[in-house]
Amino acid sequence: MNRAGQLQGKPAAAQRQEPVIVFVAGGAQMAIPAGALHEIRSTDSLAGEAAMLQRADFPWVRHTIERGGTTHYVVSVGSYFGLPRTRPSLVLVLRGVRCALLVDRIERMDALSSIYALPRAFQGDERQWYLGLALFEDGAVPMLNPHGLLTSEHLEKLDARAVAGAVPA
Amino acid sequence: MSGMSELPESNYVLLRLGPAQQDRFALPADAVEELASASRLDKFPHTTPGLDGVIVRRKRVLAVRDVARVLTGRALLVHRFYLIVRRRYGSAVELEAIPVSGDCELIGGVIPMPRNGDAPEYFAGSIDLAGEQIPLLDLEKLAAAAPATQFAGSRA
Repeated sequence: MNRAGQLQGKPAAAQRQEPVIVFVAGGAQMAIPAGALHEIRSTDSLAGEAAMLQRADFPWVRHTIERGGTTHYVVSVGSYFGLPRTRPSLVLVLRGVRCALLVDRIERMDALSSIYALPRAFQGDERQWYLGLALFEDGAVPMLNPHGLLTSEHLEKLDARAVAGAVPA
Repeated sequence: MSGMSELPESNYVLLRLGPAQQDRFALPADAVEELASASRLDKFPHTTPGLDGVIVRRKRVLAVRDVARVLTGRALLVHRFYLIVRRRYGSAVELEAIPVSGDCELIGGVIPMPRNGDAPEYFAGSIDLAGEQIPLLDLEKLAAAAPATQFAGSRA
């Protein structure tokens, strides 16, 4: 999927379409490239696998799961963005990053040929959080950057805490 | 706003951010692209002060900046239009949408007055309209004056 570049809100030239997953977290719609997902699991089905972080200073990471001998931190997307509290039911385990997303539900799958650049007026953390904006018939939805939520600094601190003691959930 | 000293007489767009007389402000006409009817505002989490979200206009995504909060001290609860303005980012120019409460007016051949020293930095000066001083906005400084916002994820 192309990341839109210099021109405001103009996508790159039409390319082949790639699937995206539109999900809801904290009542807000977001999207993520389907190729960034390794696995989608219900929270119920993960209950036996997840470990709780005992000293989570990061309130939006409460659990870890193991995949391929690596610890993935489960980020509550609603809590991370300060969205209204909801009852998440799904965990999206991401591919290639040590992060899984706790979300309310999958809204739909869709296909996009490009995403629109975030307007330059947006100059905060959102430039790291999002790859850009996906335009659907019902509006613009931020396209989550799989590498954008947990920084290396976050991971370093979380690793230190995880070593300090994880207990089964 | 540097054009003010070079071209003393110029055109301005008068915009309304509320029902009161003092809710009127002016922008150089050459900073304004068009006036557009209100359309769907899409919001998402972000940390940039002063931005409400985005609108899609002619297949472009435009940031929506709520300047009323800074200029009048209150949010614009009802807006009928977006004033589409040009913002410069280095050599690039991007369009941005400012919600306004009513029609905008083009004022021609006006000589602006310099900024009063006590006035906020985001006032570049003022224009005289039938004896009333209408503040002339400096969009860049106005954008910088917006109060900060904070999202949970950016705390750690």
